[in-house]
Amino acid sequence: MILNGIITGIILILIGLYGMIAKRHIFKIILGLIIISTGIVLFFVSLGYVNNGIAPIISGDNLYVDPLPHTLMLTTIVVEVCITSLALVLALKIYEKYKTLDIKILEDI
Amino acid sequence: MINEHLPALIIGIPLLAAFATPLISKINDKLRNIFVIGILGATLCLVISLAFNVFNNGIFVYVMGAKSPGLTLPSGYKMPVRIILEVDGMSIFMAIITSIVSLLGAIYSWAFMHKETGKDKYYTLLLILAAGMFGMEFTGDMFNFFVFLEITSIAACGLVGFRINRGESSEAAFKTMVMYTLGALFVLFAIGILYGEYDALNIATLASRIRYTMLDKIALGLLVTGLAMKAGAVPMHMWVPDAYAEAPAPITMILVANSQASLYGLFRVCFTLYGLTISTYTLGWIIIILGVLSMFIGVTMALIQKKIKRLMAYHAISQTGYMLLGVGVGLAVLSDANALNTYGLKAMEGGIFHIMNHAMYKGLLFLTAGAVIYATGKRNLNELGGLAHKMKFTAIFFIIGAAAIAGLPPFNGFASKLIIYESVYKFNPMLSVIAMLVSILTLASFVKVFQSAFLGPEIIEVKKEPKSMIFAMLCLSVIIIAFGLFPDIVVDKIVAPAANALVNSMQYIAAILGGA
Repeated sequence: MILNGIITGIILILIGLYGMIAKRHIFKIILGLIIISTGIVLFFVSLGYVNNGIAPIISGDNLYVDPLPHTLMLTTIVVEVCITSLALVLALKIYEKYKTLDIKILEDI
Repeated sequence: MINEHLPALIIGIPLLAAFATPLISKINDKLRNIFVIGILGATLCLVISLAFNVFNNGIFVYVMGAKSPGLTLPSGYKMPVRIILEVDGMSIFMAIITSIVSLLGAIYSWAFMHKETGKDKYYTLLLILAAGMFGMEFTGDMFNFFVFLEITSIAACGLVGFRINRGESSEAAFKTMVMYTLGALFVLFAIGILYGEYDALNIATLASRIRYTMLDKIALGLLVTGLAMKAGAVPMHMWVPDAYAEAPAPITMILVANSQASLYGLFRVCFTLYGLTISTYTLGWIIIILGVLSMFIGVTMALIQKKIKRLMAYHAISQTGYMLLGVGVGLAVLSDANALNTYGLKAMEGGIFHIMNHAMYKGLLFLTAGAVIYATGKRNLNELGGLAHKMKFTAIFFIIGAAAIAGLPPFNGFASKLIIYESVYKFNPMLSVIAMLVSILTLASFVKVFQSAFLGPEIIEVKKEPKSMIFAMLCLSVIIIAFGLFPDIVVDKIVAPAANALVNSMQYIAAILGGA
């Protein structure tokens, strides 16, 4: 269970990285960034999970999940929303100016 | 009372002031300018008083919201959970650079941005950028470091794309943002790996628990890549020319300090986090090779540029190489006490001294480029000429900056480069020769700029440069000459403590774990 989450997270990160490197289109690069950050969120959340763990209210010897990665990920998600919105605004401005988002065409201008 | 809370105040005051700026902007433009400059001036005073505290009493640990960083569970298990700010010689050294540069940037902006719209947002972002840099330099917590890294990224990208009417600005901002974010995500992934292994986010705790497994090597690779990406070292330098060329001139100066803040992060990771457990020879050589590549490729690319700020941006890459080279040599011999004492520490002092000198002279050069663009509205060197007739002050400041970057005595660039040449020569003579060659190429390139922009007959209409711009450039020139004339004092007082702080990572760890 916990390993599945970690592996899926890493695969998502690699997919996003591939998208950012291989695709020559601004919108696809932004999508790549979003996929990487989703992968990292999944990776962190799985790190905190403990098999058969309960909510982290410490009482006795119960196994409980680690709450810290989850709180960290709240911050990360907020940061990623900011980044994505800024990137989309910049993409919009580029489109208004050049009427294209294709990097191959943009490089020639 | 105020002394106890200095690190938190230094981050907090610019951050809170940033969000008050748009409100004050509603009242009066002039009032807002005075407010921003006042806030940054106050921050500089706080940084200096914290610096005295750190140099006299050693590492300053500040715990957010509590007395001690530890938390004792009912079961008796102690763990460091709180967010801490840990200020040692290296952190305060970087903070001094950051505060000087952002204060002078704000003063320069007064006249430079006079005719632009959206200045309230401009000053807001400038203050956030400064607060983010202070945060990166002071924090003792890996995740906090990531958050401040992202704060500076967002603010810096907003400022790079500030001239939204130019398509190139948006493009440059987008490119910068992709690189910054990707670097920050690498750092975050590495933090995840380290947290999963050692169950801690605190740098000192992590450093004491680290065992250098395969996963740690992956995390180290990710951290070095991510931070070098943001510092603009060569294989990842593509965003630097665009961003530095498109940002308004005072922002470019602050962006240089921003790149150095992530350079600080790189050194902190290499020395403090991984310094105890591994022989750092290989890591040191990787940093040295990054540095040599940056030096050489940066300067050769600069030689063929025609746009004045783009040319200087490539030189910024090349100068980053010197810092990486100096500190990399120190890192390579870190485990060899004999070599460290004969030349390693000296090389690190040279590299660290160069960080400060670079911020000053490169800032000055970008400001003169800004003054040229302000006065003529032209960016291309082929269209410029004869500026020295009208812009006498700018011409003099440009000579000072150019001589300092090329490493001519008696300017500060010479002082730090000489230390680097001498000490690196003992490590590997070849590296020293390359460094000198790069210095000569730098001089050639700046002679070209001076000749084509400032000398010759008056061919274009030129405005005179306003007083606030002259004042900012004058301050930087005075600092450059003072550092060039009295390098010993600066090296002894502030550079040597910074180098020692990096080398003695045990102290950094003991400051947290010893007292907890």
